[in-house]
Amino acid sequence: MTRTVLCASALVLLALACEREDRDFHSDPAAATPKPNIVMSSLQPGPVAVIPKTEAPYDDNAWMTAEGMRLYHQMNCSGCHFEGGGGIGPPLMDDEWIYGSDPANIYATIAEGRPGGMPPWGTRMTPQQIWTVVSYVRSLSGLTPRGARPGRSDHMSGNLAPQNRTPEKPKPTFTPPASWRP
Amino acid sequence: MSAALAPIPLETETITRERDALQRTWASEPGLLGWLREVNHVSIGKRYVITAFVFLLLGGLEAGVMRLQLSRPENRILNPDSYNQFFTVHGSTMMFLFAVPVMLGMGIWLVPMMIGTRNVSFPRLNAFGYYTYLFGGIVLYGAFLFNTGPDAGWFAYPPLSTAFTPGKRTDFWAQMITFTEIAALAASITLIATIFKQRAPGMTLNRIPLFVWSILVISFMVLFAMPTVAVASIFLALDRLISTHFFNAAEGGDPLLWQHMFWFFGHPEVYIIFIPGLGFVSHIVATFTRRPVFGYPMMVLSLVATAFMGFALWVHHMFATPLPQLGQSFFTAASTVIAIPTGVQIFCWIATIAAGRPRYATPFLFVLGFFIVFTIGGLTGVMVASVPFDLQVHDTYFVVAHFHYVLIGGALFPLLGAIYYWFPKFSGRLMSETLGKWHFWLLLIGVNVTFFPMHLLGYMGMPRRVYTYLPETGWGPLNSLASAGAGIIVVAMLIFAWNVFSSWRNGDVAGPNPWGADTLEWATESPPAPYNFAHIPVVQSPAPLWEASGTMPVVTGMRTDVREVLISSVMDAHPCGKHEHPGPSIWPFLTSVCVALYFVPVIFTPWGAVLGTVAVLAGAAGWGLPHATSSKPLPAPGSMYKDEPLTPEAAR
Amino acid sequence: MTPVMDTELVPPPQRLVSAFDASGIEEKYFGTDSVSWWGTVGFMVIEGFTLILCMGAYFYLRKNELGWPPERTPLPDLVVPTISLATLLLKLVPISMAARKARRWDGDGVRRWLAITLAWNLVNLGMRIAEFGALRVRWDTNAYGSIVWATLFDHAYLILFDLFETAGIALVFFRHQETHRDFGAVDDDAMYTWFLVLAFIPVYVMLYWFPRWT
Repeated sequence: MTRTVLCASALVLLALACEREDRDFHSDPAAATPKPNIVMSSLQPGPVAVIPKTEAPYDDNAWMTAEGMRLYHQMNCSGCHFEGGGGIGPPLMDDEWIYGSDPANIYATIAEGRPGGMPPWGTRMTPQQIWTVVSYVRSLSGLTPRGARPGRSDHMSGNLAPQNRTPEKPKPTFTPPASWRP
Repeated sequence: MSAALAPIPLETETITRERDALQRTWASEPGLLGWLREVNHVSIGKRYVITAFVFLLLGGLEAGVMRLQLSRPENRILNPDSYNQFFTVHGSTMMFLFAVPVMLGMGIWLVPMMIGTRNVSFPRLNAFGYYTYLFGGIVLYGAFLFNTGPDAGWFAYPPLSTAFTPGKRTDFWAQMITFTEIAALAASITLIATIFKQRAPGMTLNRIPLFVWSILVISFMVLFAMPTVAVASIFLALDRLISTHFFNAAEGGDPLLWQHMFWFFGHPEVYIIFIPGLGFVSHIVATFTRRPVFGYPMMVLSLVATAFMGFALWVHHMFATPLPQLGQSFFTAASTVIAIPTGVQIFCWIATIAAGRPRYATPFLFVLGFFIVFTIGGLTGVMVASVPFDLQVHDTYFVVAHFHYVLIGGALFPLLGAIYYWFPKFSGRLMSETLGKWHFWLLLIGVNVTFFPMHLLGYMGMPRRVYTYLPETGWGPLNSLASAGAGIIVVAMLIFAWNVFSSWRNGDVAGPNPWGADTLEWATESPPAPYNFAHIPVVQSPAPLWEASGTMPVVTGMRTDVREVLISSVMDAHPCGKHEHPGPSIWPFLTSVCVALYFVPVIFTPWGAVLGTVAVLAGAAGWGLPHATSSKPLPAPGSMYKDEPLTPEAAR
Repeated sequence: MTPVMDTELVPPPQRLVSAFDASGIEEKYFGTDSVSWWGTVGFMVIEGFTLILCMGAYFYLRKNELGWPPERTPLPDLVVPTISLATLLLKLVPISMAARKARRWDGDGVRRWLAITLAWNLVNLGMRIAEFGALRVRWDTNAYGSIVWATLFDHAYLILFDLFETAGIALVFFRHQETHRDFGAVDDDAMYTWFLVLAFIPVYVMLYWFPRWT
């Protein structure tokens, strides 16, 4: 009995650890990145279809989240969103999500852009890269596991590092102010 | 010694009776619980040495896989990520889990026998140190198994180890450091107190065996080196866990602060590993040339000088960082000067060998191997001590070659010689000479074939820590040669392992003193009884067993019903007190578990520190509170103790 | 297998003779003839050196900033730390008295002074907790904040361990289970307390006065 418990917990640990520490250098981007299912409206044609929620592939992965952070700066996301506190673009580290906090929604926001200034990045980044940014953006408000969130960076200290942030519970709905709408 | 007392021969009957009583008092307990409660230094020392050799095996296997990966250009056995983990775990294992613990373990095992006492001063602290070390190793390898092995190099420079290694890999490394440092500090305090206060009567400072001197010297070095790396690794862990800015240049921190702290530990660490090797060599040379080592005072002073200078040249690891010119010159000079005390010792040994008639048994061969390999490493060391040369070969395979020559030559060769030399005391049986000679020659060839080409690879510009290289670099042939050499080392070490295994089971029975050696550990049985000596010997010369008087002066009047040891004065080893040792206890083990409850959770959350503090205090409470072992009744009011402070003067 | 034992070299078994009779020697419980004294000193060396390292790191980091404390970081408070230092210094009185009584094997005296020491230790701990607020900087604000927190925390651990050690010894005495060795432990505890209090003086000067001088 004890042995079974030990083995089971070891396997659980293994599974957890592997996800967090995996570093995938040679994966096929298409296979590694499921296309997100995004529903923008509650209306549906025909009978009600259950649309499976898309899991973010890299939420548990520290390395990929860090890659997302790197891309976040290289692609100049920080130019508008700053270090998550927002400025020209809306803040990313709070509990307010204009277009939803689900990984699929964030993916769509990045890949396809949003009216009011968010450019579409789907033509500039691979799906895998976009997914890493999704995980980083989610880590900013503590939506990903603590162990996978980035620690402090080698910059001026401003906000708390994602790892030290208390998770924000996303608000269910939010109406964007008029200035953010087309 | 008390001159008035004429030597009285002891009756055989008395000796037997006392032996039986001592056996009952000091015996180890049976079973797993008994194993965990064990506090005898012989058992703990053996565990240290065996555990360290297991880590040597693991570290060696990692090195073997790395050599396979590098054996030809563009190999695909390891990917860059796993290669990073392999070299980091290899380096960390060899430095923190093998080299330092094995030397301290040999000290714990040998020192009480060499100085003629029954156990180390703090037997429970000693056991606690072992478990803490073991848990540190388990934490590192557990992480490695789960793909969380550290990957920022064994010296973990920030910012690579802070902002650029996400996940928990470096955190596991930092905590492994803390575990092993605590273990090393516990062992050092224990050994210092043992050597200062528990020497056999008459073992004055100038009669202390050279190995004991070397252990004393490194114990003091540990007291200053290990806190440094512990503080540094805690800073690193804090930077990673709660976003402190010790190493963040943007907020007034400094990555070079890490390098200074790490190498203020790291360079003395080299000497902590290497000085006990010098101690081994002195004993083997003395025994196999059958004469005391030439220039004993110079030998001791050289050890002490090496220790002091060892703390004054850490910056030569940092010549490629922006340092003041004066600093560079100073550390170049210091790095060159430290060759002098080592040279003095080598010449003392050569003088001893030249004046004696050496017997070329396996331990002695390893000493000769040490001379060759270590001297080559020392010469390249003088080369890299010079700044302009160092800048050329910095972070290349030249440096890899240099420090492997120094560490294998300076520590591994003497250690293997010491294993052959003291194996009879360890197991009661001799190791096979034939296999030993095969082992020695194959190892000597293998080490040179592996590491000599690395000098040339360094000149050709091959950097350290690359997981592969292109065929056009032309590094392929030399790398293949080095990998072939690694194969020879593997064969040599397999022969060694077989030799240990088969000799342990059916080697020649050794008897107390198979080599005709001079120091006290050979005065007791092989393997020694749990109380080491039925009667504490009285020492009258630096080589007590070579006094051909036919009689062995001993101490009588020690209690046999409790674990009592004799306390003597620091300088003259004049008996000045007794000390009753605690018996077996489970608390060292449990407290060590509590320490693990501190350091492992703290990898994941700062609240681990709160949990851990409570756990460690609870462990300490369990350890400290019951005083069942030493419950002597207090003196009645009005007895000799009343209102009479007991001073050292009064004791004499 | 070639025999390696050169039998001629192996000395013959030697006859044991008594050269020293140790039965008149007593265990010593105070000072350098007690091994626990050496253990205490060993830990003092380690912990003292740890503090020195923190102080070294403090001055090393100082050179990276123009002002000290760095810009927009307030000076630390002076009142609370000074009271804290004073309470630490006052702790020396009861623990030294306890040690004095211990050296005279006066169990009741030890009990009395240990009780006072223990109560005073709680005051020390409370003052230390207040002291963290007096730093007026967070550990993750900048490197200055990190190192002052680390140094003070390091010393706080010493206070905590000392409190715990004193509590352990006191418990033995309050239950009237004391042995000779526990009297020695009181003496060692007093030595350790002297160390931790004196070690705080340079730390205090560094943390609260040095920023005012530069």
